[in-house]
Amino acid sequence: MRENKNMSESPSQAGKEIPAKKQKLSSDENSNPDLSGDENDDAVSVESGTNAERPDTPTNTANAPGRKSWGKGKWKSKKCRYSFKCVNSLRVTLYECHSQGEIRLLQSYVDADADENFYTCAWTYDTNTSHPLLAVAGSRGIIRVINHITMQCIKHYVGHGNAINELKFHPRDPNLLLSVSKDHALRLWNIQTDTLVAIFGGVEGHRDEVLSADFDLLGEKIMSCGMDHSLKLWRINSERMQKAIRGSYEYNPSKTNRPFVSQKIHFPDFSTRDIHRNYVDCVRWLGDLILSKSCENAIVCWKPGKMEDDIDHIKPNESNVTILGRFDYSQCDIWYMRFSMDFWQKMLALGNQVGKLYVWDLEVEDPHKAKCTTLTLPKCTSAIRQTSFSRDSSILIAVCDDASIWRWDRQR
Amino acid sequence: SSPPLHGFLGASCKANGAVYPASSAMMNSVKKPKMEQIQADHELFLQAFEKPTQIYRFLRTRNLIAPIFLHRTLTFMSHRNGRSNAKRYGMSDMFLFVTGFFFVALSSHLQLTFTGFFHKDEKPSQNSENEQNSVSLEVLLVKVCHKKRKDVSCPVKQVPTGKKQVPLNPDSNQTKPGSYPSLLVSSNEFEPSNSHMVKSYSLLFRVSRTGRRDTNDVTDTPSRKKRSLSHREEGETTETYVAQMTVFDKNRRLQLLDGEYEVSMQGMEDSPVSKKRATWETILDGKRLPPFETFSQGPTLQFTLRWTGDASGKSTAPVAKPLATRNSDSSSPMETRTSNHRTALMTVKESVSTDIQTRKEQVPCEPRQKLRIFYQFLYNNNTRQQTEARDDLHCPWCTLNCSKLYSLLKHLKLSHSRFIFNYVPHPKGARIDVSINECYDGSYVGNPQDIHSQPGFAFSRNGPVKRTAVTHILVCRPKRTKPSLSEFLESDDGELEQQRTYVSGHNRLYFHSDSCMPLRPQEMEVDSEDERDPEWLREKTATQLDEFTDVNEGEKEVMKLWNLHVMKHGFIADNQMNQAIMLFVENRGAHIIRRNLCRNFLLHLVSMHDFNLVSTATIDPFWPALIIAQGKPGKSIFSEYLVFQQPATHYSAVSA
Repeated sequence: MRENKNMSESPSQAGKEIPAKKQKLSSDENSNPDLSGDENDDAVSVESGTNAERPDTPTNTANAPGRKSWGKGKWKSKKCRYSFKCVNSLRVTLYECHSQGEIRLLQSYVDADADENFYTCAWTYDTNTSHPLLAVAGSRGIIRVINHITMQCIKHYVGHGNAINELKFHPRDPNLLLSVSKDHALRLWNIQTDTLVAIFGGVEGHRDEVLSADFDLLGEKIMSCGMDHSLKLWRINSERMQKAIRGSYEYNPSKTNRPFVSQKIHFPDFSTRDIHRNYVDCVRWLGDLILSKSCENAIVCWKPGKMEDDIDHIKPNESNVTILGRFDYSQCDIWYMRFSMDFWQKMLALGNQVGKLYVWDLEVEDPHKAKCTTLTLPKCTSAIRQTSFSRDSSILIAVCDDASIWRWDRQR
Repeated sequence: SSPPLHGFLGASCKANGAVYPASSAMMNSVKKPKMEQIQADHELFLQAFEKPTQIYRFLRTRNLIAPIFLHRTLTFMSHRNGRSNAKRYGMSDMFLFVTGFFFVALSSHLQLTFTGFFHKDEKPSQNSENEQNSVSLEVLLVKVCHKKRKDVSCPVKQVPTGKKQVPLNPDSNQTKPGSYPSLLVSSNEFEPSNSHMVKSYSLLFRVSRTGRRDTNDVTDTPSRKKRSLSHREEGETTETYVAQMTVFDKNRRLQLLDGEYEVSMQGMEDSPVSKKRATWETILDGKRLPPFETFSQGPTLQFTLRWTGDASGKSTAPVAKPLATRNSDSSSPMETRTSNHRTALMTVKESVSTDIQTRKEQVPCEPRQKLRIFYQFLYNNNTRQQTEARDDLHCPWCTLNCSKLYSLLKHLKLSHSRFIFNYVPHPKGARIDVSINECYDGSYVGNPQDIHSQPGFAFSRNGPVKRTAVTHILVCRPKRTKPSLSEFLESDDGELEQQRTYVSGHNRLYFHSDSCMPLRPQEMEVDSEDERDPEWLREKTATQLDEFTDVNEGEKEVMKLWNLHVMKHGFIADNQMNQAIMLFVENRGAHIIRRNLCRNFLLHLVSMHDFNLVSTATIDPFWPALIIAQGKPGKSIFSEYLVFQQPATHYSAVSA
């Protein structure tokens, strides 16, 4: 359902002297022989490669321990979920997961600019036509919205000063798109009226690339994280932001000569650097708690303020954080490795740099006792950058640096 | 070896027959030994002229489909303009058009010659012994009239014009051309009727076919069966097929031009349509059957249509010509209008008015003679040349009929500026030297907004879209020199100046400095950089002051107010402080009193005085000012004033 960012293709990251970076580079060298194979029909070759792997998958994992066993299962899906990836720079490829473990290549889009390198994508839908829409963005900092029904790029947004690292749609308003960028800022767009609602960043914003962000379940607040080791909370249910969002819907460029005034939010509603001591490359809300990871072999579950504090009453200058739990794993100390949760937030999946997939079952009373299942395959050895669950969490997709897609089906 | 230019210019050289392949003649004489050289030469020629020619060909097509301007509006193309603005709304003009229209119509008959009725479904041999080799055809003229107030719908009149027996599935080899049934519709029918103004005229063809049918016909489709059922009691069926064709549409445009027609007929339903009849259409490869498929199966009616001056006369109506046909014979007014490059559907109305216009123009302007235009293409640093001659005044690139040499040259120069055109008088007509314009500025001259606006918006093919609404009306009334061919002669001086394209204004995109969003042209006036005290800076200042631990809350509040005040008005110098205080009291005095911050403020003033920034002379009148700002002088404040008055004067005494 989501994406893969292949950082090895990004030249802009090459010059930095940070330990994580070096590890990162070495892993790239490992994966390069695979990548350099055939760039041009990568999408096709990946697809067939994945298919070739399919028969192995169930047998290898059928006896995997844990409450949930993984492998080729039986599930019903009328409308199959879309799996999506954009490896190898400028390509956006759409797959469909069918029953019996089949992954079918549907469409592939290539950016006109050979320098483009897509990092991220997000699904939404057109509120008028109900067409599913796909927003993609990457190194050029241009967001493109693709309608794969009409097979057109229907919108594009320029404005970010640098690469875009993640895109997220508002959980309740399919027109609100959040983009986080290397330019140290986040932007909230209204894709119905093509307006920039707000820029989150500036004097108290991130001091380095923003790597990830997430809306909470109700879409009232955003948590962002970045290379400055910090995590920042931005409320969008404030009077000011609500007014701005309403205003963005009312704005009609053909009726006025005034530009739409974007809000510049310089002050986050909470900020901390106490959780991680390195790049924070992934953050997700888990209810009122936050899951975030750095390249320190652990996903940390924490909350702003003290244990008893309510997230909605945290003051901007609050300096306390409460760490509630950690999910430890190994061999995942390179950056830009994303974990994911299923829609019901009952499962958490993360790949590491040697192709191992960790899946935690969060449906336990004590978060410390979350069961971890490790999924491995002999042929899946390169870094799994991103993972994604299908809506009913029956399928887990993992995408690797060597441009391969791995599909795991839940067997129950 | 065909002349190379044919690929470019001679798109319809066959029809024209007047292309003079001068270069090929030259080639033939030196044919064999220099084949490679010719090849190389040809390559050079293509190198020079291929690309711009392709571009202009493309632009021509685009301009036909979606014109961005009309040539007839150009001053040097005024003869293309069929109407003049002067009498655009005049009644006499209307009258002229109306009479003109009927003038043509009156003089003619509509002659229809029916070749046959084709229906492949049928098996002609099956019924060969009976009357089945012809069908009965009825032609009706349908007049749709304008709706009057009392009418619910447009009144329709059907005028029968005749009945004919038309051969069924005739073999075209067997039938003699003269033996086809023919029908004349007098053009009187197209006159306005008395009671109603007729909106549109159309021909209704009704073919009825009676025949014995095998009731157990297995090949019948279900719908056909049902229909035959209804007639079974008679033992024979009558099938009716209809088709309707518009002669004059509601804009009084003639839609039926001379030519051969094959009309797809539709079986008329003689029982109400039931949903059961709905059939699935064959979908081939996901695509619908092309509409032309119906013509291979029928039923179709073939006929020849002619507008004749008399019953057997020469065609008088405009003939549909293929796109961009060039007609060498421009002397006949009839031909003039058909040679117009606009596409096939020519209106009678317009053509008549064009005639009038042309006739009017013909008197003062040059007599129409056979002009021969020699295009001499210079390339390879003007060391090589190829010549092509043409007999008309059509632009070789966009096939636009310029009618006059001056217009042609002007058009070439202005519309095809990738080339340089030089006019050289020639005894037979004119010679135009064509060379590549090295100074051509091919950079983007359109609206930069169009590139950055949302995709599909600027160059929408789905109909009109509202573009960036910025209109600058530039009124220019240049002194036009009398058109003279001499302006196209090659001049020695200032040649480069003339070839330069003039681009002015903002042809680049600007961005808002605060959000990096593209700036619309109409937003130019809004200065997004105008921020001496942006909100974030005010907020930051306030939070920074809040972080002080050795200052009490009242002091913090005054400090914030003061700092924001200074930031807002941009006070920078010591000698501005007096003014700054006066303005501060004016703006913030009430707030200070309301928040009970007078003492804090006074402390601030005292410290400013200590730093020699303000004099007591300033502080003295401040208190009354503050009291005024308060509105009602409170007793306590006033007493404070009195109390602090003393030391202030004391300080002044000391300083003095």
